[in-house]
Amino acid sequence: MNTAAARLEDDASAEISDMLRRSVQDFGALHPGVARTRRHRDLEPGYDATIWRAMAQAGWTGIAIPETSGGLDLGLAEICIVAEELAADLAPEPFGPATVAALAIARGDNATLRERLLPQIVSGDIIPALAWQEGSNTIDALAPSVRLAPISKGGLTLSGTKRFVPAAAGATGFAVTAETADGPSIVWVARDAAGLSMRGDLCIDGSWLQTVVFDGVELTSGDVIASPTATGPLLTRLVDEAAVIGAAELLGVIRAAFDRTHSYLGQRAQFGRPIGGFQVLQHRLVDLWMQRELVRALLDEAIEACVGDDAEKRARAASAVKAKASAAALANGRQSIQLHGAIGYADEHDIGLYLKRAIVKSAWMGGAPVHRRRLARFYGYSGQE
Amino acid sequence: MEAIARDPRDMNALRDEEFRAELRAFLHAAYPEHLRYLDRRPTIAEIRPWLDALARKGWLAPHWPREHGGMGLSIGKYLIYYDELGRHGTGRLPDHAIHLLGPLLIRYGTDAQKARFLPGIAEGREIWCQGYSEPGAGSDLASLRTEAVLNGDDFVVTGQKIWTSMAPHADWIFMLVRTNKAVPQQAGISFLLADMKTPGITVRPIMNLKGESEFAEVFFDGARVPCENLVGEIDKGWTMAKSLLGDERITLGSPRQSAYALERLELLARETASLADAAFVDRLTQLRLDLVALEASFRRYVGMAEKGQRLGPDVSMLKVWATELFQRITAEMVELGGELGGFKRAVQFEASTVDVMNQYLEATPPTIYGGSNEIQRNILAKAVLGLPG
Repeated sequence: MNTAAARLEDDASAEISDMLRRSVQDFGALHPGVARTRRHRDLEPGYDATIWRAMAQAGWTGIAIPETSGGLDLGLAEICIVAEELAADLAPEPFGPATVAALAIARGDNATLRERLLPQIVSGDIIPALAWQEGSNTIDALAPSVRLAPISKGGLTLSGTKRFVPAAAGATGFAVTAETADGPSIVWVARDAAGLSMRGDLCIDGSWLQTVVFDGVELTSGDVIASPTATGPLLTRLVDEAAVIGAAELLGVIRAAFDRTHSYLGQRAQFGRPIGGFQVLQHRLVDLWMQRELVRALLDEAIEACVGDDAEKRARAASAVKAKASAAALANGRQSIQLHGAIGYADEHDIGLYLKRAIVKSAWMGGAPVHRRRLARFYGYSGQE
Repeated sequence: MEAIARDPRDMNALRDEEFRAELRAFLHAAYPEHLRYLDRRPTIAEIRPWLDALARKGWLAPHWPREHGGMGLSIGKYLIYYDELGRHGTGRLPDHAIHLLGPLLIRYGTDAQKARFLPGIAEGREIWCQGYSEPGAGSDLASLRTEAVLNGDDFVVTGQKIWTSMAPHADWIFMLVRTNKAVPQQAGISFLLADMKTPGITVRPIMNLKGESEFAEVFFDGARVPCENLVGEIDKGWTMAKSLLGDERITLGSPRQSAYALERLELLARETASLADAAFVDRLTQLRLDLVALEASFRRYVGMAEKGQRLGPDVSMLKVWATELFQRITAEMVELGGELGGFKRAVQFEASTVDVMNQYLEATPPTIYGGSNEIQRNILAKAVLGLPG
């Protein structure tokens, strides 16, 4: 491609990105996420189902789903824009986790199941959740202990326990990773399947992480989303992409908390002048701003790395941005409270909501220590992958 | 070495990899092997062959326009140029005039000044030092007091400059002087060029923490400087000097020094069998991650500059992050080394050498020069974040 054509293409894609970003921001102005986070916190499912419908109307539930199934068929860059902006608005709806679950289904090798589920995900009739995790502090999705075993011709049974499934209380079905005799696979389980039970742990931001127990849930081979041959590469890529989406959400939270803190420093007066005029506070705010810029630069590179086929490059870039974003979000949240002073510790002020969201989101798809451990292996500092 | 002829080509026409290959070939042919990865700044005599080789090739002033004897490199190629010099471990050139004076003369100098001074800089014949800081004017540079009073056809200069790198070896000094005391500080400063052999100029070297006399004090005791050596209009020196804080600022935020220091830290870790220590491995990983973040941010700004966007004051974040990371890496080296960390000379292992203290001390001034990091944060707070003065 010549330079002029490449520039045109760049400009066109930048324009789509800007439009998408603005439309999410407009949505937030109309339906402020902070208010919903307050209204729905500590209640199941933790978010507003009618708003999820509105998001479906906007097309975001189908952002990663092929056009043939009614989706927008956009890439990771666009997913990250929506994730970042919704997180900046503190919207409690599970856009990130549900999109990751939709990606798992869309990339499975069961065409019939895809054709059945995807249009309903796009329309908002199905809210999918991906149940892959069993232990805490891990991003290893390839060795599930949940088992999927044959019981009859075409009949299967699913047994075991998944943990830390985000926003699952409102999910209408689960994409569950399970070990079979031929290796890990992914299977679809409806929320109301016999033998499925859930218990929620309430998180500090008012959302829930569910423990989902499968006690001999009966399924058929038609419920298998991804066969053992498809599952390995699918999950390897998806875990990295999900970490990048998580980082985009954290960047949104960081940005919003920063903006609020910045504006507070310009308004709050002590000793006869705005406290934003004091050098020590200016320098702290500059340090927070720098962290935000570093996360932004790593995010852009991680999105680019995910487009390519170099698996190690992708994994390194994903872990780099998630490690940095998780740590920066926690530090940014804490410092935002400090810079607000006593009002920052008051529940009536919103700044605390950002810290709480940062705490919960920083752990999703691996916190900083998890990703630093993986990076240490990539960098050759500890035992190889 | 075979004779080097001036290279007439426009290097911007080369692909990046071709340009790197050309630079590497030239470095291998022309840079003295025994001066690679030197743990001190080379003397003028030591670096002279390399200086001359670059000058003959026409490669001494990478970012000057070609009609003034420079290479006319784009910002991308310019950064590649310094990256390759850094990778080869070349010693620092006496480059103040190349970076600061040349661009200023090209923009504000008279034709006579350009004709008189630019060739001497681009050909490496005249060594320049920079006279900005004074004992009472460091971060608050605009309060400088070295005075230039017009007397007949000369300025009579009286006062003192300090932290003047290369002053003992310089032929010329470019300096900021006070020419008007009746106006606000910034409005009474002019930009002047002085021959270091001028009667009334004396130099006293200052030893730095590494034990090198790298910088100096320069005293002016009624030194007469011809008024044709005034660059630009009188009292406009501050504005001119500030206007040159352009795209070149990005080089202060280059990840190269931190990347090299991290390699040395990794080597030290292997030599001291420290990778068995999980706490150290996590700290090391964190440093590497911070370097990866710096590199990503650096590429982001390079990409913006390559698209022709003028870089804003936010680019200062690179300088702050890069220089502080360089310090954190080298602090880790000293701590990890234990007793070895305090060795004055490079630490010798059976198969390798690690210049712990050199790296540590090298990392010390970058947070101070080029506008201290505290000043950079002030600038970021006001110019980027719009916080009140």
